[in-house]
Amino acid sequence: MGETSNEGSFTLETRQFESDGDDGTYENQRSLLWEHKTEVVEESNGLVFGVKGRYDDQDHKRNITWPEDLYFYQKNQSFKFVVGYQIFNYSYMEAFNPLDILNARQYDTSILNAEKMGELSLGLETYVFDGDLKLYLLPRPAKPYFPSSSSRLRADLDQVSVAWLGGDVDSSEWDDHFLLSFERSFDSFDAQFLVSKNIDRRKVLVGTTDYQEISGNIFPKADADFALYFSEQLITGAIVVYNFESFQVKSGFASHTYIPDTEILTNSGLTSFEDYSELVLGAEVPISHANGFDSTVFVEYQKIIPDSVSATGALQNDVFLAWKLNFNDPTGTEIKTAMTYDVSGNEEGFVQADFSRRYLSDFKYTIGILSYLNTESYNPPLDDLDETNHIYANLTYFY
Amino acid sequence: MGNLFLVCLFFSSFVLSSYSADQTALGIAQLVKESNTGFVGEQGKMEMILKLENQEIKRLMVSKSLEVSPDENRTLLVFEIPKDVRGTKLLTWSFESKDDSQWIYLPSLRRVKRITSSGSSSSFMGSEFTFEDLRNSGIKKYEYSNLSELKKDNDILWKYNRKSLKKSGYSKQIVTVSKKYMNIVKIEYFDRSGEKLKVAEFSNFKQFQVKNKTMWRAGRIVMRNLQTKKSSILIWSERKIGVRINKSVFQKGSLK
Repeated sequence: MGETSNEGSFTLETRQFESDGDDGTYENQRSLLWEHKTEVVEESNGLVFGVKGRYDDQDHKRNITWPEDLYFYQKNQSFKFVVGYQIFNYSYMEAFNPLDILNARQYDTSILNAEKMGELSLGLETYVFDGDLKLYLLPRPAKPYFPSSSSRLRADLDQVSVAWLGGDVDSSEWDDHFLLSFERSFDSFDAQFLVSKNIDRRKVLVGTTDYQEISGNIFPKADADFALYFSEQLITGAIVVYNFESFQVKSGFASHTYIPDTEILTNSGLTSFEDYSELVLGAEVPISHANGFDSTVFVEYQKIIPDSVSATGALQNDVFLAWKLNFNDPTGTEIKTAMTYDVSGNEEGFVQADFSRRYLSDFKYTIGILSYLNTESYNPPLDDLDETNHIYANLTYFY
Repeated sequence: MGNLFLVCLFFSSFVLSSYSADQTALGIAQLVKESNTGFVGEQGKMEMILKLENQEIKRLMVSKSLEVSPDENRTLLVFEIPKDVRGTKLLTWSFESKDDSQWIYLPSLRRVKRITSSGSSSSFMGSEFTFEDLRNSGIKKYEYSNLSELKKDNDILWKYNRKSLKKSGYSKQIVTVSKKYMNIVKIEYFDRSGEKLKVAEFSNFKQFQVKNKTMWRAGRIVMRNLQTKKSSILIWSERKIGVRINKSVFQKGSLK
């Protein structure tokens, strides 16, 4: 038996929403979030067991447990072989991360910081050309989690299932999804390239594929099943992070090509997933204050091309502005404020601010506010986020 | 200074024999630098104690260093305590003349971030050490002046000023080098307005043998902030030198 380590946390989460006058929803939600990670490391192999779960004594539909990292690896001087559930991270910016698309999310928290769920994967990693090359097979895409109708962050989706377009997740056959990435650091910049075939779990269409044409008009069939449709895609993209002496610039792009061309009958009529590209630009400016505090200003911009595709996601042609103040004290006190705003004319966006501090070395608390702006202009299912402004307070114990 | 904290500083009889009385401050810095080459790899545990007015707070880290070439070292720090940042990793590629590269892995975000040069004057884990203190003090990154020599006990101490050629949180540093250990034993830091800000004192030197070289390491560094009266102490344990560590450990991609 190699070296074993255990760590985890329990977080008491509370959030208070403004009243919506609906007895079927909970204005005050309380939950216990727990996570545990055990890691067994031997000289050339290791086992990681990381799971996470949430318990809500009111809204039992929030009571779920999911794998985060649950994998075995074997490595030698040249290669690392990995099999199991993994959370992949290809995020380089605070808000807009076009390459960070590989895991299903839990939309029970902020859209920007939705929790990721582990993805079943089988991979090989190697160090070549002074960089990290990774090839993963992703045979079983996990489905995203949406809060139920009793949650104020609901999408009124109790009766609606999640369905894939393309792929073969509901059969016993394996999908041929994959990830190929290469990452290399140079003197002043980092570069990341990625190609992947997977399910795009950030773009969704609500509707049915079970429809009929009557007198030139399209209607859903009487027994049609409505679903949240996610489509199989091929994504290629790159991110570059460049360091200047006093600030950092980030830029990236991703091109999404949808493999099936299935049409879905939605509230807006027949439609299908349309290929699109994302361009992101960002800057990060650290500032040292005379009193020993440090702050960082973040400015990011995302452009979706063509404009007609914007409506299928929460983030479109948006600007993100954020300011983080670090007190640099032993308790790790930090204040963060952030705003995302759609500059294409929809006036959508959200504002978030929070304060966090360590307490007694094993505890940490966070209090904050999250407010959505003009969400009625979102397309389903996100249009139901209207009137979901809330404050939240979390207390975490680490072990 | 970072390498002086995290990488071995060793005594070389060959190097010392080449010392002459008319050495310049740059020459002394070069001797110290040459004394640092050849450690191959190093690992150990670091305890950092933050001394505040009424309490002491502990930080625990695991440190690994690799000598890639005489002009390039790589260092990886993994945090164990405080528990809310356990698993945070700080990777530094230190170069003799060009800018260092530094990345931090934040497990709560599962994200690797490159650290900007100007962010290097930030406090390291709420301590009196800054990221700049933990970076390489490559001799070509400073201009030197005011070399003096004094005797103390059975040792000879060389004292000189150095001023960063790059953007720095300090206007100058006064460095004291021990001939006995061929190591820095004290650094006085001056803030941008020229006021003395901090003093770092290196002690508890321990001898190590790597191949044919005898090396010395400071086992304890006390950093006192003269303006806030706070201090932080770094203490090493379980230190091994001359170990071979795979280069892939020090890749950005390995941080995740």
